[in-house]
Amino acid sequence: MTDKLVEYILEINANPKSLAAHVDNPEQSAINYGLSSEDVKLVANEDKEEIKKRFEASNKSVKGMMLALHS
Amino acid sequence: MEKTGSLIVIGTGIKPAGDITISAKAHMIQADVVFMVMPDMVAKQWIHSLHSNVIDLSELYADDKSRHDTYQEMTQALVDAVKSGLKVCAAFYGHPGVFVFAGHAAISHLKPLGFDASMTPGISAEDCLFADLGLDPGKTGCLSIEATQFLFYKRPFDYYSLVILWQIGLVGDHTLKLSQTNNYKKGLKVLTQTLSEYYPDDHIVIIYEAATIAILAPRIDYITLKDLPTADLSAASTLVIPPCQQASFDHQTLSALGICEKEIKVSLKIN
Repeated sequence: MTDKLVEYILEINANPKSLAAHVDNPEQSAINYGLSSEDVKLVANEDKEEIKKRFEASNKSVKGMMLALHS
Repeated sequence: MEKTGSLIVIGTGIKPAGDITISAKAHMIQADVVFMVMPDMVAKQWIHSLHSNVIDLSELYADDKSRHDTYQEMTQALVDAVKSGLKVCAAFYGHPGVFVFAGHAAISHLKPLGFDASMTPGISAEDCLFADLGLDPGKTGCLSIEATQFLFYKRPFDYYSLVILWQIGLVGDHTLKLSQTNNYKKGLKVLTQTLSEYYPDDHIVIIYEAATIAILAPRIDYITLKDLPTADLSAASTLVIPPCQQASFDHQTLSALGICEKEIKVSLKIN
């Protein structure tokens, strides 16, 4: 895995202790993890749309979404 | 001759790395090949970090192509890989048996042919919804249905239950070809009119979107029913409608059971 921000998010998704540290101080948590200054800013600002854009996670797009085929 | 290929369909949950079960992760790691449908790059990179042979089925999506055709192609890809003798893991986000056509279809195709094909559950968006909103479906019962299906068919509507309408960002679409959630306004208006037959205009409803990344909060917007037509929706939006009244007791059935309303209220400690 090459994207350090992805690693950071996966760590927080999986580890309650890391999540607590992030919630307490997102900027310091991101710095401590070794994220680039650009990504520290992204995490600290908690800009939902920018973060989603970074991960190609636009919820407006139906592609990749598993949607029900109603009968 | 023994069939060597096999299929396990797993769910990775909503938050990649955090929601997957221990056995589902083991299934993925031990497979010869992993076919995946994941909603974003975080989940995709995580899957790639766990296995070196990953095929992304979401590449089968295309503009102006029916999702029905896409899902049939996903099914065929899984079936072909198993028939070639591979130990196949199909990884879908959420629960692999909820709103996922290809997993069920591939298992139904392969099992009668003698292949080992099964599914293991995952955490669904509905599971996240109950946790995030603090709602227990056991309290009043729960009607959980895809929004367009709710609109298209005549059927009894139990508005005494908690009601969950999925895919409201696509409500009213019959083409299955939309690539963006940009055509729901008309459907949302009709849906609101339909719901207004059962609920007051000022009834509070919830637009919910589960968080796929723990650093972002889930979307939980409380709005009145009358404001629903102007809501900004995505493909992940779900409408949650708490009941606005309590069902009355069925005294005929209670009598047949030899009990009365008062006895139930005492047992349940309700007035």
